[in-house]
Amino acid sequence: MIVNVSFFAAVKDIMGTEKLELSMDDESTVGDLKQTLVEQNPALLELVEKSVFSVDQEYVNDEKQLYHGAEVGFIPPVSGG
Amino acid sequence: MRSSFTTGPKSASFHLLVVVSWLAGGMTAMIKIVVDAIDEQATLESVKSSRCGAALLFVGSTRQFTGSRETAELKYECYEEMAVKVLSDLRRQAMQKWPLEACSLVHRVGTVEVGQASIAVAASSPHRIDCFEALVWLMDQIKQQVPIWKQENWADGTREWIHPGTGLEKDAAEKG
Repeated sequence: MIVNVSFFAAVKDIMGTEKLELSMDDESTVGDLKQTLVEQNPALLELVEKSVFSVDQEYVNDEKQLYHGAEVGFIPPVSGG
Repeated sequence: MRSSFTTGPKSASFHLLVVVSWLAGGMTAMIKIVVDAIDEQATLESVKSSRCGAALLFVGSTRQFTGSRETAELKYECYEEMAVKVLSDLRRQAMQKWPLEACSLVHRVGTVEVGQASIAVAASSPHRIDCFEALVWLMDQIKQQVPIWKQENWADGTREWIHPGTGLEKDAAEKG
């Protein structure tokens, strides 16, 4: 399946892009996605550990199962206001 | 207000606007992400009501100095669809916790120069204590939950994204 991942702020700078289509095994979870991202880019490790993820604009935990076409947000610690 | 649903040739979108405004507690209350300067007065006016003895406005703006470091400007980035959802949810929670008549939340993105507003939050209530408490709570929640990020553009020419708790920023750059 393909999931669409969005990157922001320092994560976007590390990735060099704001969006990525990522091919994942069926029944992959957000935890699996995090592992895949770090394997592809070890510089993400610290930020992955401190970040939360969203699926379809809702905050989720690592056990959240992904699906084909899911809109995933990689949300590093926020600093609005 | 009910008559607007039963009389006149008003469009479905008008009815939706009325319902959304009514649910928000006021006819003009708003949740917005804006690129241009925030209209602070309009944000305050949007929550005023004859049923309320209090209307309160908080404005957060770009501070020139953080400790000894000078800021040239801030740049804000946003996951807009999700930010609006989270802001809407926080407003709903605030209106459940306190008897607010109306509440508006406006955040600016892009470049925000020193002295300019990055956020304006306004609320109204029959008695002032509820506004004061609600705005403190709302600002704390916004800073923890809403997917918006700021980048410090320091006067010495360096830049850094602020991600609290990651150690990426050399100096804590809390603001507001």
